[in-house]
Amino acid sequence: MLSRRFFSTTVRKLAKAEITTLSNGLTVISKPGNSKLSSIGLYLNSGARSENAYNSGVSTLFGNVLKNSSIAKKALNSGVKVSSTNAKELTGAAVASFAPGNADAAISTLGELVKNASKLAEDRVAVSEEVAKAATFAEDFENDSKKMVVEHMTATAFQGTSLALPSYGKAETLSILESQDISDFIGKNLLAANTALVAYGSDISHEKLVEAASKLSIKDGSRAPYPATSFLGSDVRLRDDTLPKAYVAISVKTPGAKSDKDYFTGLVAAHINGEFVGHDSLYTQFEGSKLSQLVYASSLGDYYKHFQLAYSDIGLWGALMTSPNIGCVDELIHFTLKSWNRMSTRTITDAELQKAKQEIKLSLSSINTDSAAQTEKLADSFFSKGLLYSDGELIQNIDSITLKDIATWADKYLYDQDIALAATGQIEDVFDYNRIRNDMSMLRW
Amino acid sequence: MFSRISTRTFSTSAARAIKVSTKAAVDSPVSSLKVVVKQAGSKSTPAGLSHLLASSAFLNTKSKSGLRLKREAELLGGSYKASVTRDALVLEATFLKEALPFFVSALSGVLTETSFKPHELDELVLPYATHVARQAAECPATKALEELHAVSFRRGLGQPLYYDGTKKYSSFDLATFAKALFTSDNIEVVGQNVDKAALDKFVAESALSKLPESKNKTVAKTAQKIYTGVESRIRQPGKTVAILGVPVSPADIPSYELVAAAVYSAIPASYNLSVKTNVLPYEEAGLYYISFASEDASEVSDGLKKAAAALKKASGAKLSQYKPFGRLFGGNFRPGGRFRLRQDCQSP
Repeated sequence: MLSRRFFSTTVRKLAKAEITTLSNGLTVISKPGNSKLSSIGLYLNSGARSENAYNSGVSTLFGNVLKNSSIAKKALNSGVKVSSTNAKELTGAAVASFAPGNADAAISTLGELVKNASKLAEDRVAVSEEVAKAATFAEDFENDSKKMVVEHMTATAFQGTSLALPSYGKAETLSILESQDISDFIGKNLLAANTALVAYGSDISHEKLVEAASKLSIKDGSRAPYPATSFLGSDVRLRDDTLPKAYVAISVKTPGAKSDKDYFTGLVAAHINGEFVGHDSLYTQFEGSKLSQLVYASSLGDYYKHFQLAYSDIGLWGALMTSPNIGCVDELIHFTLKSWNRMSTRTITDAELQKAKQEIKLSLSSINTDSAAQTEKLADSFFSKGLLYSDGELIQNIDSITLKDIATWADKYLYDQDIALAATGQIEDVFDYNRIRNDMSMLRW
Repeated sequence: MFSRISTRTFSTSAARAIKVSTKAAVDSPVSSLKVVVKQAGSKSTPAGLSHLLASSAFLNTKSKSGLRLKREAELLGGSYKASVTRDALVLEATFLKEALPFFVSALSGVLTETSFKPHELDELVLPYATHVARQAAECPATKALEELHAVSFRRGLGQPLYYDGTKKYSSFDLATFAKALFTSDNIEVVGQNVDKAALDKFVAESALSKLPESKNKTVAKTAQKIYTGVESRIRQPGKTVAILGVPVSPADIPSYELVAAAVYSAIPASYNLSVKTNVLPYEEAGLYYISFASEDASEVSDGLKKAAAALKKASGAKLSQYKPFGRLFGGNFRPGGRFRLRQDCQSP
């Protein structure tokens, strides 16, 4: 009731991203924003998932070669900073951020980078330098326990498929990559129908972007479809008693971002318990989430976050949790999974649902993130869904989710389903797979 | 109830204008509101007190409990936090556009009617403030920057940002200071993506507009004393961090932004050595610094020497070839600077 009124007052005025698809298939996306910097990014709809076990990390390497090239360094003098990013289904090959007034310099920098991409990839000396850096980074990534368990959870869930390859590559494969590998990657992926030019910020003109995009020297064509992928209930553990905590990530299989209703239901479901930061917030003990209250009162853990990772055709829904109280990790896992059961037993309250919806609306349309991250968000949702929702449509979709939808969704994808689990740190108290799997259902309600 | 009536009857003087401003709106369903309380930052209160004040924000007030505020904010779609800088105490809220009146009254409640209960100080405020301070102290980079402030300024800006437990305060102390500091002439309200007229109206209707003016308006601004040529070394586990700083007068801040760029460009890129540079613009002074962090101490000392040499050379006309990107790109303006996984931990 309340939320419907909210929606009707705002929807008319909300900004929508402008999208143009050129005749060669290249997509131009721009969205006005009021961030301090504006960004224009060249995104490929192929990331780690387009790699194979022998060239894992090549997409990351491609971005690094571009952003650390002499062209990018020169651009800094005209007020343009080039960065790059990588994900499973996306490579932000070159993202140019700039202060208002430098849009032309940013566009021409991107043009130069695209034109010279193959030449830069052939520079053996520069590439070998980047290879060393990227391999060190991939090794470093393994030391960031939170990100590491989520990455390994994905890897075990989709084991044997290319979706299991790490987003930033494996150190051992990265270190043997050469110029030729990057050139191959460019040949297969830097293709017009696989590319989007995405802009966000105050100094963005869509017409100018379209004009610039039509001048980009990108070959026509689209990349080969992703190899088939499948989910396997499984677990992977690395016990390391030198770490201060236990880190556990658990998830179930969900349909991907293209399945509209299920995608939004999963998002709302993830925000029913949302994020818990323990003592890092002064207000944790006031939170309404029932799981949060239990974990806080019993000191079961110091952090958890529920997530939905949605790829184009498949997804994962679950939670990452950490606990310095290593003797209670089994309870932390047990009660988290029991709180998931509540969605199927239909005991989620209206207030919990309302809180979840408001929280997701706030985070989906948050205004304070930096512009480069915004372009990545736009590119990611365009690539995985095949379309972009305006803020108003997002709100409408979220508002339409009812308790019944949550229950139906949970019955289908959550209740008594196989899980993928990854754990590291002091995990002697993480039970075996079957015992945790048993918590996904209940013997009595 | 009685207390509320009495405040109203006592506010005989006309409502004073609080400075209200809005930033350019963009079409988004999310708004944010910031209340900056000047003269309530760590430089102008007894050591650690302003951090305790920030850590008491959004707890029980006369009209609403901290629990109720949190639950209502969750249902309306909003989050809030209070933080302390050297110049000011900052209250921030981010929320769905329609909840503006609620958050104006929540923020004004913090400044006008926080209860400062003794049990809250012991059970919530002190543990939280100590937790934040300990986390900052465990981070070598943050600790080095704090020490740089301490040796460069000693008093004022040199005071610790966070509550370090050296002084004890009672909840009565907090209430007294809050009353003295939260005055209409110290307060600035900044809205982002909100309707200016609506914000003005809500602020005028809120308790904020009934805040008194500070009693001694003619507080002579003591000039910030600056100390140079000082060195300090702290032993601590973790990465080795070296920080080189120059306290500067506010007028010199723009030219030191060029110096920052010039010195930064003289440091060769290395994967393991993380380099940060910035010119912190405070009201009475600026602080230029360049910091080096690495597992390898020799790399740090090497970077430090190069920076010192470059700093000596950086002057005059040669500077004009550099551009002050430091402020724009967050002190990290080497191409591809975003590509770092683990931040060395947050610096204030």
